[in-house]
Amino acid sequence: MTKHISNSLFAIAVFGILSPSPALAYLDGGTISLILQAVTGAVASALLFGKIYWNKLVGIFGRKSSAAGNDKQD
Amino acid sequence: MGFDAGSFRDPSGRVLRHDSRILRAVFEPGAAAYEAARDAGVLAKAVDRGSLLPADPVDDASLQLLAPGARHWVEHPRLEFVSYPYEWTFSALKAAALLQLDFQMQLLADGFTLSDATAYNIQFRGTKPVFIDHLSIVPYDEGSAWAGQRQFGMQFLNPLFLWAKRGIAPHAWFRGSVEGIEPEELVKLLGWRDKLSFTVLAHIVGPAMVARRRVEAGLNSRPPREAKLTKPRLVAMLQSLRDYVAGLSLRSEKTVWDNYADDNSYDAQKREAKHMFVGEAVAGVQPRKLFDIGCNSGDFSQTALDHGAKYVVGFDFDFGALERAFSRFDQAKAPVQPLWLDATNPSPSQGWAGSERASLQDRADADMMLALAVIHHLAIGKNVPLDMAVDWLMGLAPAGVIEFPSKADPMVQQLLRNRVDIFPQYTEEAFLAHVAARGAIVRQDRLGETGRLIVSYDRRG
Repeated sequence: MTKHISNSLFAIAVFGILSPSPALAYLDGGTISLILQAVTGAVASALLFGKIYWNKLVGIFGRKSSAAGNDKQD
Repeated sequence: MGFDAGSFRDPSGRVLRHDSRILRAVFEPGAAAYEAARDAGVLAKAVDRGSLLPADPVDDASLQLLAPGARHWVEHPRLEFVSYPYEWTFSALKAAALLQLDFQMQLLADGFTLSDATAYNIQFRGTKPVFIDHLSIVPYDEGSAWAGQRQFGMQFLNPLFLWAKRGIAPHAWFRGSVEGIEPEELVKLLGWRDKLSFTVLAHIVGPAMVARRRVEAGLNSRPPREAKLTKPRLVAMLQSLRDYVAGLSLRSEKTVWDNYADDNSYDAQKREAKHMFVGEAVAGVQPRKLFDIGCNSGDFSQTALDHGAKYVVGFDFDFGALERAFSRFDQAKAPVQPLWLDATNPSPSQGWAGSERASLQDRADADMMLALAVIHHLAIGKNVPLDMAVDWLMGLAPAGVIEFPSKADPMVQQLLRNRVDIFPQYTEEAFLAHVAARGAIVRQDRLGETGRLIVSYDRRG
């Protein structure tokens, strides 16, 4: 769900304001968009950040439940 | 001597083949970036890590005649076999894509980046990808865009997406369009479900829209608006793309030859006899490089290695068999490179001036070849006259082994089952005569009492 909302925000942010931007080196900078990449980078940062904390959360509950499992076995 | 036909797009430098040496000339536009990367130690670090092909500086004034104006010269070790992305297996293309992204992120950590993202900058040593273009490594300019995004999409992400999500191997498309699959073409195949993916939206739909807007705007395009892509966000973008690519896998599909090794008409004794014949032939030639045409999952490539072959390029038409070969030799870290080949339509010479990407024929410099259970597919399955099939196979290497299943063989019977037998020339006698006309038959044998004919030849006089 969170991912779908972030996708929608991403789509609104990007497709409203597309324009080419200069790029490094020998490739034609007009084939990419710095704005598209800036928004992609921002969303990717948020998703990765969320993923790290989600994994931590799962880790905490995972440990708890596995500890509970061990208790039962003991 | 001459410039490599595939090295000209970046004015930073060019690759030259000089005698048997592979040299790279660094010209003025690339000199500062090269010196910066060299002096910062990022080149040496990447070489040590195995992600970058080694390059030794060369100080030889006589080389200036080869490329006047060169500021630096480096020499690369010769790769055993140059291959192209339209010949790679799924696992190979994925491994190359991951190397491209990992390498760029490693460089960013040291203040450098890559100026492009072309798959032709990656080659294979066995199943291990290696980055070969030292001049694509440039200092990172804070806030700058990822210059290679479109190239990465066209040459890595889009073909992988097509393969993993649609089950369509991209080879025909990629080979016809050597710069890769354009996002504005691929986007036409996407459904709304595909577009729920952030990666698809950001790296396929978005770039397709950029390209479309650019065409629509023409000369009226406005100057770019201000935007800021910080380094952490650039890294996050690359990392999320890496996670997506790492998660792509092939749907398991039953392929033509899936059970070939188990089901074919060979019993264990005949297979053993074939391994022995091949092993002895390879031991006699001691090839530096061997082509295994129709390698399947690599059983005989392994036998060749066991008997002295130093490097094997295994070709097959079947992607499932090639995946198994890739996985097997990857785990064993063996010098075997599995590649896709349609023997009746091998990779042509193509690209700029028809020579940017070399044909298979131009790259066929093996010392030996194996064609086991192949010739009936060419001669009967594809109507290639027997003499032409022998000619092509023997032309691949000066020595080799060819197996000849006769018409009585169940596998040949299967090919003839639904068609009129228009192959009166397909006989053991004719086959032997065609081989003998092109080289010496070193040994001929039969695999079991009534089994297939197998010959080893040598046409080196």
